[in-house]
Amino acid sequence: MTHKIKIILADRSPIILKGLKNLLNDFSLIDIIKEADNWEFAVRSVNKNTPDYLIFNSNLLNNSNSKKLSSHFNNKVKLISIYNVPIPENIKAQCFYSININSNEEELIKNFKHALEIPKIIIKKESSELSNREKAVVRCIALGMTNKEIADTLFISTHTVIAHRKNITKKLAIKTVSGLTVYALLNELVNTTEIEQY
Amino acid sequence: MKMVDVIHLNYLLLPVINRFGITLGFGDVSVEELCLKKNINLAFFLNIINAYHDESFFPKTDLQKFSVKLIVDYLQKAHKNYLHDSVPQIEKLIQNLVVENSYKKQNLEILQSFFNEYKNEITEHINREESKVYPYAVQVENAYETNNYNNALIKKMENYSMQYYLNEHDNIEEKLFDLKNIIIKYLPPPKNTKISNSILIQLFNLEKDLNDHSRIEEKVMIPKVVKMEKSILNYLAKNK
Repeated sequence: MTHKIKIILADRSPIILKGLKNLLNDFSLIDIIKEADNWEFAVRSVNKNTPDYLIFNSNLLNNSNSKKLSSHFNNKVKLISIYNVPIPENIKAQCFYSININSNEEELIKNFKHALEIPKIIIKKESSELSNREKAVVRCIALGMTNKEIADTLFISTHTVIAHRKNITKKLAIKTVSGLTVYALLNELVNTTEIEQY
Repeated sequence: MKMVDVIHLNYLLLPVINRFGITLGFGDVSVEELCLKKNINLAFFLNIINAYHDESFFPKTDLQKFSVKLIVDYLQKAHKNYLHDSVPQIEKLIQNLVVENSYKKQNLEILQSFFNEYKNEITEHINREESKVYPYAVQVENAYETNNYNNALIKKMENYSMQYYLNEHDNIEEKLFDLKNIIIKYLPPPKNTKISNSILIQLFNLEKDLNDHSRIEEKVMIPKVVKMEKSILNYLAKNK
């Protein structure tokens, strides 16, 4: 599941292209490899780059070139049509998915996720490794220090201590002081004798 | 809908229907028939199980129409459930980890002591609600309905409004959340994975139940009592 979903976008309107790009880039796993503002360029790009999906506005097509869409392509690209005016039935029938781009954001996200078959469980780049500074803060928390005491010990402002604590909770997914103490003990940032002595 | 279909839809509702006095072996009866037979308020029952089943469904105004007594009765049954079933079950499983030496001794001690802290916290929380908050809520409702206020209650209302309680309603789900992550991420791999899995399943279920429980307290019971307090105090101020 590490491979990215390759997409080509085609729409006459630069603002819609920008909007779509913005929306799709929020999903990880997406790679928008080309943008086209007309049908011919879209077709050439698809044939050259073999994307997984072509997302195109149905208004790029006319009566003659919309008869058999698959005949334009030399590969098995999946077609997703978008529309803001009623879409002709024959185009809709030839597409893997059709999305009304006048819908609200939530609806759009849902539809694109569905159309692009984006799985719910995905690999995201996220670091949960604590920095050395954060480790020092965890150690102090486990010892039972207040924010003020931590600030004085580490020569930083209480404001910075609070910021560190927020990041630590986010990275470790541990919210309580006792939970952090357990983390510190398990990772040998502190030992029980130290806690008792402090 | 048949009661059996409700359970097939979401088996996590089992302890919830138990709180209404429904136990297994109910046959092929419909929800309606069963509620009638067991003398359960059907509308209340439906609202509670729907809210539990679907987090996005929460008919606050509908739920506030039911009496505080009815709501508190349900909340108390849930409390019993936590103290007498959920928590002891988890405790027993942790004991099993110890018996099987599933983690090294030192880590087992850390885990046990963290769990004990949690157990004390939830027990204290529940005891406080049972001895102070719930009786007060019911008293206010009685007074409101009978127009019969004694000075002791008025004093209490002035000093201990339900609003304060909402502000200090401590979050007993936080430690539970941490406990899950400690077992999932931070303890080294256990010797007996099955026991750890079972503990986690119990923790996830308890967490879901507690979230639903707090939501009923914070969004239904408390605002309802606050409204009654205000109306009583207003009435008294006018008729001084």
